[in-house]
Amino acid sequence: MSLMRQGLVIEKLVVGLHRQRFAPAAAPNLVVRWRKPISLGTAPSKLFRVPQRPQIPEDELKEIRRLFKNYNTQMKSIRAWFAEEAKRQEAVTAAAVAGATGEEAEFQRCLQINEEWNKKVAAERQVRLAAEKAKLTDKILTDLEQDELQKSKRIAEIQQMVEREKDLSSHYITEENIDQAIEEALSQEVNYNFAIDREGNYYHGFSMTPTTSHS
Amino acid sequence: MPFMKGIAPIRRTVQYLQSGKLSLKDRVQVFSVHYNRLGENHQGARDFVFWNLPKVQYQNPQVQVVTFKEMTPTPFIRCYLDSGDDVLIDVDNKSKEEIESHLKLVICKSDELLAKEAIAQEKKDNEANFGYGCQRHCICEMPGQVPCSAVCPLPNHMRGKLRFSTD
Repeated sequence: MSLMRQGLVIEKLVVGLHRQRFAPAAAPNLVVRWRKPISLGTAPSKLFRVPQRPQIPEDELKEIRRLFKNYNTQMKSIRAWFAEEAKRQEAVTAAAVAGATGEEAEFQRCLQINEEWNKKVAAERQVRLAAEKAKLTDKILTDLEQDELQKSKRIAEIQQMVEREKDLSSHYITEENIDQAIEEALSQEVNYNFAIDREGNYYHGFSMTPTTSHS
Repeated sequence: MPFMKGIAPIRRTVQYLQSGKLSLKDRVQVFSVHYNRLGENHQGARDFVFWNLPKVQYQNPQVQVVTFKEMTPTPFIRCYLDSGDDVLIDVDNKSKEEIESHLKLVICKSDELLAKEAIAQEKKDNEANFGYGCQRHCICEMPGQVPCSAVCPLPNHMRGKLRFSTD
């Protein structure tokens, strides 16, 4: 039997046992030029084809399965052991390399430098914040003073207004003296026939002699 | 220049990026900067982020470079290492030059180490390799090797279809 035949046999056995399919390793990217269109349907010669299932005796099947199981277990364990070994080797060499170069010590030194820098910056920051706080306190106190000043000024202004009104209230026209006020207004005659010059002199009527008063 | 977009597009030029001097140590995984938009003491950090952070990322493509804004009263830089620890660097009221020089001292590879790595890099490029990215595409290009089967067919005893054929 040629090697190819043997290969086929093994493939079929495997297909029956493990329900797996293997693409031919020699041509993993197989490209097929022609496939019969599905719409054409199966050819008459192939219509009632029944694929022959491999008939393997029960005890042989058991033996084959046992052998395959053993083989797979052993391969898995060997692979796992190699992986562990590689990891262990890598760790050992990494540690050796790190130790040899003295990188860790160098890094610790860098951390120390950084600690000192941080402390210095923190101290500078404390000084700056204290100065800013003092400035802010001063500003707040000044503002409060200004506010007080403004308030007192306003109160004084209001007081002055009230005083002025109080003084003027004696000349107010109220219900009591409204009649008298009307009488006075009607009896008084106001003459608007006057002119005024830049110095504020009044010229009443048609006279050319000025007077400083209104009437 | 319509393709040089942004405020200072020189930061996007290759020459500018390659001039970066901060090559972080291998153990650094994340490089984070915390700063605010306003504040005199944050000005140095702002300048560092604006001018130098693109260089840092370019020189260290495997490091995550991230910024956090408006989350801190004082600016700082925090580098997270692969061991889980972090290095805190206070940059309050420091100029970007001071920040850069301190980082170079504390968290970057030294110049000697960089020189050593450059030499090691040169040695690693094995001229005997062939394939993608190498000087030769296939071993058949070398005199003394089996010639290319596309040009000169292999002898029958080396061809699988003739070795394994059934007829």
